[in-house]
Amino acid sequence: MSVSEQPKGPGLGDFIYDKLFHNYIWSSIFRSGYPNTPRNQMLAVATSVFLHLHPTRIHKTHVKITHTYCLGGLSFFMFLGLTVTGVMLMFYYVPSVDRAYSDVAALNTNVRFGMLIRNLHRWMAHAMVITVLLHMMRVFYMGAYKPPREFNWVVGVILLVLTLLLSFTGYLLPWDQLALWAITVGTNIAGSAPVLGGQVRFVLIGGFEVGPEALIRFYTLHVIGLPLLAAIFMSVHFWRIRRDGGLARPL
Amino acid sequence: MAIATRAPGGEKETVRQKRERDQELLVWPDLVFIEFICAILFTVTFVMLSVLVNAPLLDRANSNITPNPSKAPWYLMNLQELLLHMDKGLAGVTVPTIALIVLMAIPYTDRSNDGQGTWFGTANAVKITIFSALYSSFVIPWAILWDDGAHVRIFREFPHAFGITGGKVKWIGDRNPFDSWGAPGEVLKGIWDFAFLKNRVAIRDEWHWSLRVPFQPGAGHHDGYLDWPKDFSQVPVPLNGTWLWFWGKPDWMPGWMAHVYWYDSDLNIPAIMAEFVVPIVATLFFIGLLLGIIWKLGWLHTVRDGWLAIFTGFIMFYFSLTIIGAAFRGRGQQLVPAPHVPNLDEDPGIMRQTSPHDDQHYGLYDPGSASASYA
Ligand code: HEM
Repeated sequence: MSVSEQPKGPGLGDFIYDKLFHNYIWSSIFRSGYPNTPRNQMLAVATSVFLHLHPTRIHKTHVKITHTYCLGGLSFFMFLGLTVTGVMLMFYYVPSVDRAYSDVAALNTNVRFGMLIRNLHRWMAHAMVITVLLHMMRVFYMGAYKPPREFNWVVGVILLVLTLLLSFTGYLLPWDQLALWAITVGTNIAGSAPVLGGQVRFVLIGGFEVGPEALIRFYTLHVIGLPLLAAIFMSVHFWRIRRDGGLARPL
Repeated sequence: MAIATRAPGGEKETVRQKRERDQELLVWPDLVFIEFICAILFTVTFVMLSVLVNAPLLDRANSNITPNPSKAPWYLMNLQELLLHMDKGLAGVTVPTIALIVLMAIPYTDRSNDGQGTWFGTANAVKITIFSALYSSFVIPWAILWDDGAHVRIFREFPHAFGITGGKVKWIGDRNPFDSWGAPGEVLKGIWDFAFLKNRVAIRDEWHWSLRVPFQPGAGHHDGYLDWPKDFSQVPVPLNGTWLWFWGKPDWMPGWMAHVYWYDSDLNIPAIMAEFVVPIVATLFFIGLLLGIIWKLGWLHTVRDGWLAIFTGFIMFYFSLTIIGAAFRGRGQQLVPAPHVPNLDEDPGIMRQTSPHDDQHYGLYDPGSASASYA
């Protein structure tokens, strides 16, 4: 730039930017502009309710994709996606033996984007089981469970069980032949426990065979009981990662 | 800043790792952007997948129509497979409970920080993992095939593979090389039969021997011979009413006591052998053999090394049983070649099936013996 050149005045872009981001409403939501200094970037993470699960700074080896393959994060992503699509499915689905099947069938045929939402929910559910298993493998093969992370590994195992239970309880809800018999096989497995098996199975499905009581129990567990538990354990899981000094790294 | 914390054990103090501030990046933007891109990538992927592939919805649930085969969701198919190889309670509840407890116990037993935070950070980690994976992917399918009696079927059908027809070959276990040996021959025959057992349940159903004894304990029929399995299938539990001599139903007991007292319970030893002892011993044996081999190879030095072998074996176990359960179990949970497993997409009719009578013959499987062994 030669000395004689005058700086240009603000153009249309700057005008729009200014109107969009420097107005009263925007700044009531976001207290600062784009965080472009290290200090503001740390503040952005530390003060946002969504980002503050993160530390503000992180060891440089841990942002490499090959360190985590994002597997824990992806499990959480699946959980969030399942929550969103699950809420949408709840608009249409009534957990009664009379309606469940036809509601799901209607999602497939009558509801606009119903099939898409249902597919998303189904495939993400399968994906979550897979990512959680892979995440456990990555933690194991990295020795990332060693002190002081013992307890977070235990929390992880609980999350694995919760993930399987969430998937299992959801499997019954379409109330088709696949659902009924898979759950019959599954609950028979629980029923084979040495002493209390029969009782456990009875409590689980609210009767001697998979019927209306089982449907409402599985539904309740699936949409509120288990997700709530999973959310609680995930909060502990994430909090512990930070309390344990971030992700594991070589001594 | 190093924060001193108490190790869970108590006495020993561990020192939290020092932060290396000069090695740190800012979460915004370095991590948040990766997460953002990852989230977008996976959202797009899953939307595309969901546009292309529809979730299944079959006929309305009907408890009168039992599809054949009925299968659990895929991540439980490994348990369903396990049910075919041991007592149901053992496979369905005890084994998974123990597996979860052992899984949770790993960090409490392996407490050195060696090699943490890097992939396969310890000396022999890669070797052990690869070896354990190969070992388990060899042992597990063969153990399942053995339990299905496949080796006997293959042996019998062997000549057919070379185009030689004219009858099946007699299984070694069905021959009797001690025919003319008199009394000792009978004992040897028992051992011979045991060594060439067709599978696990054959211990209960197809292993027969009888031994002359001077004295027969217990109540019941005394003929001077101990016969397997007959004389072992109702062994009184110690201290029950038929243990040494029969003393009648204890009507004098208060009701609650009579309820918990094992008055006439007895043990079915052949069944316990088939459903508990053989599977447990075999499992422990193969775990022990795995550890023994890597020890002999000089790779087993730390607790971590042992866990690497076992955890890898466990993962292989989880996945191979899932695959076998999903892809190789056909009608009536028979072990069949994958193409013969009824396919929901091509034939939703299997969900409208009531009985297993329409089983077909698949080269490798011999319905007669298989159904007999689970009778
Ligand atoms: C719903 C299931 C789960 C979610 C959402 C989840 C999420 C996460 C996330 C986001 C991280 C950060 C690092 C990473 O992405 O790898 C993490 C770390 C960790 N997870 Fe999980 N996890 C789940 C299940 C499990 C399971 C099944 C285990 C083990 C049995 C486990 C054990 C751990 C441990 C020990 C760490 C710390 C790793 C380190 O320090 O490097 N988690 N988890």
